[in-house]
Amino acid sequence: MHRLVFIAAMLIGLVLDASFVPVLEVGGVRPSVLLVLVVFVCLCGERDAAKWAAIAGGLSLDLSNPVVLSGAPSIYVVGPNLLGFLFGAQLLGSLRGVLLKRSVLAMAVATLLFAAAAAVVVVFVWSARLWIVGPPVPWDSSGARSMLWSLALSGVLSSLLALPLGWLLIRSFPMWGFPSVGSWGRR
Amino acid sequence: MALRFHIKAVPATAAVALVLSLLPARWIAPWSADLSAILWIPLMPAAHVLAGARAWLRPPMGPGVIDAGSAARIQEERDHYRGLWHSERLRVADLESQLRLVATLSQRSGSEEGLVVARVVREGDSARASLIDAGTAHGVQGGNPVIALGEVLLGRVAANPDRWSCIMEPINSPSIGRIEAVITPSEAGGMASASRRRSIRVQLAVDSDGFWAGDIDAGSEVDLGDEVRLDDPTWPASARGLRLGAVAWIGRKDEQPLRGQILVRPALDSSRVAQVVIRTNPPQEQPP
Repeated sequence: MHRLVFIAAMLIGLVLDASFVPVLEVGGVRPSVLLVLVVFVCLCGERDAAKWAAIAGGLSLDLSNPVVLSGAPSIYVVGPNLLGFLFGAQLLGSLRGVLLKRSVLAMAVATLLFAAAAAVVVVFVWSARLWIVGPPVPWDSSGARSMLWSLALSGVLSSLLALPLGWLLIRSFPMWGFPSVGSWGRR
Repeated sequence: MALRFHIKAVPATAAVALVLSLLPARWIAPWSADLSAILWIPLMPAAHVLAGARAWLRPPMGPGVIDAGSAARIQEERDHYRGLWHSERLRVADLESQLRLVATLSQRSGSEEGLVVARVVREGDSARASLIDAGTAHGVQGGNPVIALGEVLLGRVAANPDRWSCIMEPINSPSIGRIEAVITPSEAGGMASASRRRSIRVQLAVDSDGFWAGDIDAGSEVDLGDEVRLDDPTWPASARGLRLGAVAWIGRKDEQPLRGQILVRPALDSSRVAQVVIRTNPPQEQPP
């Protein structure tokens, strides 16, 4: 995989998620371009590339979503999304043998699975953080369950977004430098 | 070799991320904000343009798109809560003032006496009784001294207080009669000069202007502004030493040339006091 292509795509996805994607917001929940992009790399790239793409995507997401402290500077907790994405990539890595690589529908299903797995890990890490070091946490008085529910809904919207976006990404397949079909799964 | 490095690097990165995610906020706040800024500085222009496009496609909810009824209701709620906020601020200031008052009096008096903070719910004029919202339910009894500003004696509780209220007889009320007091040198002239002069006992009676008048020896060292404090054995011990007022006039009696006369101005006009403290009697010990 061409790293520069991924980095450029990741930054574009990050900017879109932060500034433009809220136009697709439904009931306070929004899809994620970055998530779909990482899923695309997980499905089509080498295993290690998929893991590093997940790490980079999760890290950039962690550094883009501060937790606001009342009366104090906001903090960026590095780790929850990184670990969530890595777990999602691990899950897709074990499933991609049964998923069609260049299918838009497969991308939508994979996005849903990836988002669900990542959501569980993200909420788990935040809960562990709350238990060990205490507040702040990114959920309100309704608790961790509301965040899990919100992330799951975001995954559903992201899987819907994966239909048109996946089509575009599959069209751009040659520029990514992914291995040919015969070499998938070897690394 | 490179392949092995990669295989180990991913779990190591995950472990580091796990540790970082569990660090206290004060450890990660300084550098994580910088990392985020480094990531986002080059992306800001693009984000700004895209945010403008988003706002054009889907305008955010704001005052411009709220209907007039909702805006009026929101403003009404805002004004309501603003009023509550101001009210609570005043209440907090009031409670702080009571706290300071009680703290001052607690330092002056022993722990045996009770202190009841109360309000003047109906003011009399300067020499007439006022109604106070504390009564026998609070431990108040007839004769208890009523104090303001920590050490100024305003009067005493009239006999037979009600359960929830009582009447305060102002100290300069004619019904109080004569009171014995002591003139102490004012500290305004300096502690050294004040300590050289001795206290002078005086008997005071209320005149028609609400001042106290008293006779002293013509040669007594009394200055204008000297403090006058209660020293009357007929009053409760807890009232002795409390400030009554200050010497406002010194003169000589025409009919008795060897006697002088003073007028004492009350330290406080009891009709202008909203909050008082009543020193209640210590609880009686039960015989074994």
